[in-house]
This record gives sequence, structure tokens and C-alpha cells, in this order.
Amino acid sequence: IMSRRRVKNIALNDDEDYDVDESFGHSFEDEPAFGVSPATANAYLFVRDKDTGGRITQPPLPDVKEEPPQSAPAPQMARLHVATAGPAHSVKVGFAGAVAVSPSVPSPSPRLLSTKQQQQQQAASSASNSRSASPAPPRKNGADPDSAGGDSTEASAASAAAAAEAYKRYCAGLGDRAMINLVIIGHVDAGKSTLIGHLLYLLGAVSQKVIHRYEQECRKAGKPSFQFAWVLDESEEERQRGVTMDVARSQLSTRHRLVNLLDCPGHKDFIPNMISGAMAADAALLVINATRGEFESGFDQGGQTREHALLARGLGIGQLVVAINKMDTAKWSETRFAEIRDKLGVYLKSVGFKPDCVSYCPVSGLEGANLNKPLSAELCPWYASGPTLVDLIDRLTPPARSVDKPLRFYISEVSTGGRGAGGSGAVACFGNALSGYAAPGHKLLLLPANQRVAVKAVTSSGQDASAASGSAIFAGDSGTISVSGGGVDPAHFGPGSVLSSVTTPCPCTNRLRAKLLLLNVSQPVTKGYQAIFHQQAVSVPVTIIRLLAQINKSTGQLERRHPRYILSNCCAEVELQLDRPLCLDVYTNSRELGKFMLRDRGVTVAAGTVVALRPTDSSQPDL
Amino acid sequence: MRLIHKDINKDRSGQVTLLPENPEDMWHAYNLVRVGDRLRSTTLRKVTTENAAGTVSSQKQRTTLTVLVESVYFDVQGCSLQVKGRNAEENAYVKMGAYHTIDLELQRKFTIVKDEWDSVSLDRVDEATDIARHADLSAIVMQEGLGHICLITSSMTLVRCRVEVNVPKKRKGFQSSQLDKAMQRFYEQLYQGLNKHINFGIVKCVILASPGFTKDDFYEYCFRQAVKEDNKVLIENKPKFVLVHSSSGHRQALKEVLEDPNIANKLADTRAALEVKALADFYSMLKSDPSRAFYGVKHVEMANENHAIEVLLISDSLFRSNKIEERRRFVKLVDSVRENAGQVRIFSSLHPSGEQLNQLTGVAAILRFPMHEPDDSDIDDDYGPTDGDGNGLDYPTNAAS
Repeated sequence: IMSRRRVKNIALNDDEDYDVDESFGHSFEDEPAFGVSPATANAYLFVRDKDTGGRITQPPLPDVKEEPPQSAPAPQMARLHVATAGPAHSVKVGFAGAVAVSPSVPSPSPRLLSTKQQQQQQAASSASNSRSASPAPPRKNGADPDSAGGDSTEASAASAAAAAEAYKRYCAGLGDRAMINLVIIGHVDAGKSTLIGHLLYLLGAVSQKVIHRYEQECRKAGKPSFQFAWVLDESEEERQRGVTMDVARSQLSTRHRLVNLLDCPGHKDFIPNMISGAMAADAALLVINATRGEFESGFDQGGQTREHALLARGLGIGQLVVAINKMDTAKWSETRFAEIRDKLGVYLKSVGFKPDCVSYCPVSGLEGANLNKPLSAELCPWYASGPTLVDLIDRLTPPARSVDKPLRFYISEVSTGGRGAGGSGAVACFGNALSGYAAPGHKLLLLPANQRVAVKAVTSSGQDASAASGSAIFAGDSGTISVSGGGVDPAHFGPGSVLSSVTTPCPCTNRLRAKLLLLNVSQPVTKGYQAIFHQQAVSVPVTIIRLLAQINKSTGQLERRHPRYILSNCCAEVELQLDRPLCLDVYTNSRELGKFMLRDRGVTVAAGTVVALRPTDSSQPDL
Repeated sequence: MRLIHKDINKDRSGQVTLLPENPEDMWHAYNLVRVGDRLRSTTLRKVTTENAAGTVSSQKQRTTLTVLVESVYFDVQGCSLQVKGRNAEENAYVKMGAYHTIDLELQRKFTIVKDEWDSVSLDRVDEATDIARHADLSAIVMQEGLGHICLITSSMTLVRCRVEVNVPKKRKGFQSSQLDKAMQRFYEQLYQGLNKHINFGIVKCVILASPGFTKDDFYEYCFRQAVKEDNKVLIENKPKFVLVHSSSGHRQALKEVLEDPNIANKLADTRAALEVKALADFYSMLKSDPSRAFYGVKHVEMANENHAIEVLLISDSLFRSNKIEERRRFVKLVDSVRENAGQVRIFSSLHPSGEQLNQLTGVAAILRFPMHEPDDSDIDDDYGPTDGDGNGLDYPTNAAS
């Protein structure tokens, strides 16, 4: 039984930007096994049993002890379930009267319920205790009943309780710090890498000796001020050319947050890499170059400031910290700061960032001013008491993590054998856990290759900080899962594959119905329009094979059926066909898998969400 | 292709004899031979003979056969054309009405006998036999981990080779040597593909296109390897290499490559570039004045009745339809546009712009003056190669009767 609602009070709920989703009538056809490849459909026959109120029964699998109520990828199923048995998680309200058990729920769940009730009472009491510490994230408490009450990846109620226990321990191990993924974006040469490098140095993640060594090497290489950037730009080519080319990951901990940093390239050609980094993020740090002339060129139509902000918003990031960098070249002038802040404010509001989710601060990455120590009054009198960059990062709210949903681990990198993999024959998959949790010994399904694998070892970004996580990875973490299994073929793994729970595999298809919000297109979009589909870490050529409807952007009303073409800044429902199948899911089921961007000729053309999946079509001839 | 003999009567029936010289000619032949025509060519037939002692032996016999065409199959990658049909002329080895598949061969002449030579087919014969040699280009579009080696002729864009290597991205505690190793492997495979598939004798220009710095790195790698392996052919052809920026390494990036002004002079006489430009014009008209840009058969025909068409863009896949009424319909459209002093551009389905036009129902028009769009009374009135549910694409797959 899936709970469809997440913790609502402080955690981010960015459904507002896609309100059109809800109001526009979804037409879900009664397709038997849509979105699932025929092989998977054959292996896991989902029989929808209408008499029992829509509970899906399933032929028993060898390693499943009982038949739990499953929810298929169909959201309409979810709606039924919500009506019957979805606990409303809201720390403010309290859990007492929120749970209703329908008669269709089978016998294990009273047991489930009892553990859940116990934990709810526990959590309720601890919730009231920890409410006093204001920055403490509610997610930790709200999520416990999630993992117990929701459908965990394991079949039996006992292991559901074990999952909840593990998660509780993990959260407890993190202390009162919440994990947040922060992506660093901005125009090329805004100083992103230097800023983060210096921040890491000031917070002690990088030693003085290393910086000193980089300083000498930089000077020798002819790039005298790049020593901080070299902390993140580790490859020879990046150092030689002085640009970040790929997303660099690192971690830092502030007082209340454990921050996973993703440093993105700013150059226009590397935007696909930036998209894959931003997909994994909860909040963004936009770095602006305050130098006269540089800000203007970055903010122009051709600059990346606009495009990055647009992409960040399109990918679902709702919170933004704007660091106005290189203030030392602007002599810490308040007028310059205000000018930039106002211009940006207008633009960001038009893009869709709520003004109270955006905060600004002046910094100097190279000098290290206002990073974690406040500015002195002589240097900058008008900002002397303002928050530092670290303070602003500390205030970011992490979103609710869907630990209770079926496991979806999105693979962005694969390496076989040797280092990092648990011995030969194992494949180490590096990526993000989008929902659910995984631990050694779990049996998983690799899609779209449709192979069964077993987890051998797990390392995660949260594990280093959380002492008691016990080698498991939870939703919201990035990490490595080493898998092995009979006949695991490394060729089937690759960026874009998803490790998912065996009982509820992730749908994968190459044909889908989607809602697109067109940005600036140079030519009108007609049937047959080809673009590149960017989702998470992969990009695949895509063709629009049908224009279904044009929708009003703000009201969601149907404007025109089967339009002949669509122009910029319109919203439309279209049917897309990808060149190869990808693991996708409807947006309401999985935010991360249901969101994508379309790019063409180096420009972002549209932001889209998946509305429905259709069976894989392999009949389209290829050249 | 060389024209050997042409004999067309007043009633438009007649025969044409052609000699194919290169693979592209096979594509032209594919566009000429239709179901119901007769094809005469030398071919190999397995003949079983029974001698007096009763032993049966079979041998391949070369003979000239005339076949009444029933189905035509074109293999894009190999550029070979297979025509299946029944024997229509008396022959020493083959009975009348017996089935045979003729595999058209290069440097062997063949004759097409048609009942009706329409203007489009005659144009195609003219185009195929045109003496002037069009520039053949080769383009390599790549990005980190993905590359396509393509050959662009005047009417075909073929992907000769596709290289995909999993290049690891940066990670924490990352060793940059792994990235370099993977990229070296990638370049190595591209280099092999380049040597194998690109015929430097025919190709006038080799375009390397990529986002970022990949093309520069590959260029350096290529010539370092060439020097190391003492690959004279490659070193001699170094001036033919041109570096161009593209937005990705997917096949679609070829369109951008063809539009790039840096190589415009080298592409000036290729049909590919002209087609891309014509389609781009259509789209810009659609954006600025939608009532002057129509697509879809019904709309375009309606526009034509009002003599409104200035430029007609039509895909050659429509002329390969098996139904003669359809072909006649489109030929009529083409002829009437020409009569009204309009331009006709026939797009080849093998070019990326032709593919896009195919997706857009295969026929589009830029009008001289704005016209009111007819109501879309029935939703899926789209003709052409693709209908909404992907039923039956007509090109260049097996067009069985």
C-alpha cells in the first residue's frame, strides 16, 4: 500500500510549477502491461483484480514468502490505495487518526500496522521532543512511519520493520544533520570551482599542504590563481585548459547539513553533463561573476547564467543560493551588488523561483571572504552582519526522501572488477538512489537489460558520516552498489540502467506520452521534430511522432486538439519515441525518472514530464 | 550511372537501359523500379539438369531474364537492390511465370520497361546519369564515448560505423588515467573505423564535428597514429580534414554540420545542403507566417488548387508507394506546381532532412500568399510514410506486395 503524500510542512513540494499536470485530464488507458517490456511483463504478470478493490496479485516468486499488496506503476492504482490505506504523514497533525485499514488488505498488514503504530507512537513522542530544535529536519521523523507503513522493498512485514530500523539508525547516525545535494551552476569563469575549492579548504576538507602543492604546480603551468579550482578539476585536460568539463563530487558538513556538492561545468558544450549533475540535486548554488562586463556577458542571451537557472528550475530545483562572486574586483561596492541582485531577482522570478526561496550573498572565492567567516566591517560595512555562504547553505531544506517506495537506483557509472568492486565477477555501479533502500544480500533487477542480480556490497555518501548505517544506501544518497549474479554481463550495465526491486520493477519503454513546456525554439515544433532527450545521466535521440494537444500554460485547459505546430513558450502534450528504451516512470510516481529536458543544436528546447508510458515500439526502422 | 538506351513512346510507355557504376546508383534504381514494371538484366539461375544416367546436377547459369516485378528490396547499408518477380519472356533455362530474384550488380546493365514514364521518373533518370560528379563527403560526429562515421553523397547519408564506448565520468578520488585510457580506446576504435570505411579516393572532404574539445583531441591522435604506423594514405589526405563544431555526437548533429558556413563552399553543390536549407526555410516560414506554410497532403493539394504553391517539398518515399493511384496523385501535384512556375524539391529519404520531412507526412509547401487553413475535420488524415501508430513505414524497407 503506497502512501502518495510526502511530508508536507517544511519539506519542498514543488508540484506548483506543474500544476497543469493535475488539472489537465489524464487519460489513462487500460493497457495491460504498459511501460513494461514484454519480457518483464511475461515474467511478472500483473493481474489487476478488480474485486478486491484494485489490489494486484502476483504469482509467488521463489524468494517471496507471502503475497503482499503490490502497487503497479499505474497511478490510478495509487489513487485507489490512497483512499483506502494511506497514512497522511504530517508531523504537525500527528498520526493518530490518519490510518484507515481497508478490508482488502491481506492479513500480514495488521502485523505491519502494529509495528507501524508502535513506531508512530515512538516517532510522535520523539517528534514533539525534537521540534524544539528548529533546524532539525522533519523528514527524519516523518519518514520512519513511511518506511514501516509503506510498502518496503522486502516482502515480509518483518523485514519492513528491519528497514525502518536501519533507516532510523542511519538518520540517528547522521546526527541532527540532514543530507542535501547541492549543485553549483553558473556561467563559465564565474569562479565555481575556485569558490568550492576554497570553501573545502576553509572547512578543513582539504589540507594546507595540498593547496600549497597545487599553488606551485599552477604557477609552473602558467595558471597562477587556479590552485583552489584544482581541488575539484582533477583531470589533466581540465587543468591544462582551465575549464571544468565534467561534474565533480565532494562532500562537506556544516553545522546542520551534510552537503553533497556537485560542481558543474559552465561551458555551453558541457551542458549535458551539467544536466546529469543537476538531476541529482535538491538545491542549487548559482555563482555570478560581479566583475564589470563579465556579469553582463554571462547574463546575456548567449550566456549560461540564464540557461543554467532555467535548467535548474526545469529539473525541479526550488531553492537557490546566489553567490555573487569576485566582489573584490568590484571593490565590494554595494551598488554593484544591489544592481546584480535586482536584475537577477526579476529574471529568477520569471523563471519560477519563489522570491523567498532565493537568497543572495557577496563572496570572493579566491580571497575566501564571506565563505564561512563573516565579513569585517572595514572591508564591507553594508554587509558586515549578513549571513555567510555557509550560513545560507545551512538554511536549505532537504526534501522528503521516499525511502518507502520500491528501490530505484539509477546507475550513472559502471566499473568492472578490481578496485571498487567486491572481487571479480562483480560489477560496481555508481549512481543515485532515487527511492527505496538497498543493502547487501538484496536481490535486484537490472533494467532495461532485465537481469537478476544480487547485491554484494554497498557504499554510500551518507555512510561516511552516519556511523550506524550498516552498509546500506537510502533514497537521496549517491553511492556504489556492487552486484553480482549468475551470468551478469557487464555489457548490459551502463549509464541509464536502473537497479530496481524485483517485485515492482521500474517501467522501461521507448514510447511515451509527455507534457512539454517549450522554451525558446528557433523553429516551430511539428510532427517529426528531432531532438535529444536528456534524462538523468543519459541522452538519447528522440522524435516527436504526434502532437496531441496544446494546453494553456497557466490554467491547464485544452486549447487545441492535434495542433499542426507548436511555438515557443507553449505547453503541449505530445507523443515521443526514443531511439532506444530507457527506464522511465510517470512523473507522479517518480519525480526523478519522470522529468526530462529536450535539447537541440546546443540549446535547451523544452522541459517535460512523463504523463503516460506506452509499450515499447520496435517497429520503427532505423537507418 | 550511364544511360545506354532510352526509348519512350508517345503514350509514355517505353524502356530505359542503364549501367550502374557506384552504390548510389542502386539507390536511384530503387527509386525507379516499381511493382508492375518489367526488369531485364543478366542474372544467375540455378539450373538443374538430368543427364541420361539419371543423376541430377545443378549449376549456376548466367542468363538474361525479363522479370515482371512483384517486390523490390533495398538494403541500405550494402546498397544492393533485389527485385523479385515472375519470368515474362521465353528463356532457355527458366519457365514462363517462374519466380526469380534478380540481384542487380554494379557494372552490369539493366533495362526497365514501364507502361508509364512519369515526369518524376524521367527526372530521376536524368539526375542519375548526370555527368557532373557531386562532392562526396565524409563526416565524423562525435562526443565523449559516442561517434558516428558517415558518408554523405548527393542523395544518401549512410552511417557507415557507430562507435560507442563507455567512458567513465569524474568521481571522488578519481584517477584521471582511467578517463584517458577510455578515451584512447575510443579514439582507437574511431581511427580503425576511419581507415576501414572512408575511401579517400572518392571523398573530397572529411569533417570532424563534436562539442567541446573532442574533435581536436581526435585530430591530434589520428595523425600521431598515422605517423607511428606510417599510414601514407592518411597523411597525404591531411588537408581534407575540416574541424567543425556540433552540439552532440548523435546522428542529428549531421544537420548542423551541413549548415555550417565554414564548409559551405565545399558543400555548395551537394543536394544534402540544399535540402537542409529548403527545410529550414519552410520552418522559418512556419514560424513567421503560419498561413503560408502548409504540410500534409490535403492541405497542400488545396493550396495547389489555388495556384498558391511557390516551393513544394516532397519526399521521394511517396513516389515509391506500391499503389499506382497514389503515385499518380503525387506526380500530378508535382507537375501542376511546375506548371504554375513553382519550384519542386524532391527530398531523398536517406538524408536527415528527408527523414524529418517523412515524419512530417512527406509533403510540405511554402505558399506565395497566405491562405486560410482548412479545418482538420478528420484528425489523422495524414498521408505519407508514417501514420500516428507507426504502421508501416514505406521506405527503404522491404516493399513487398
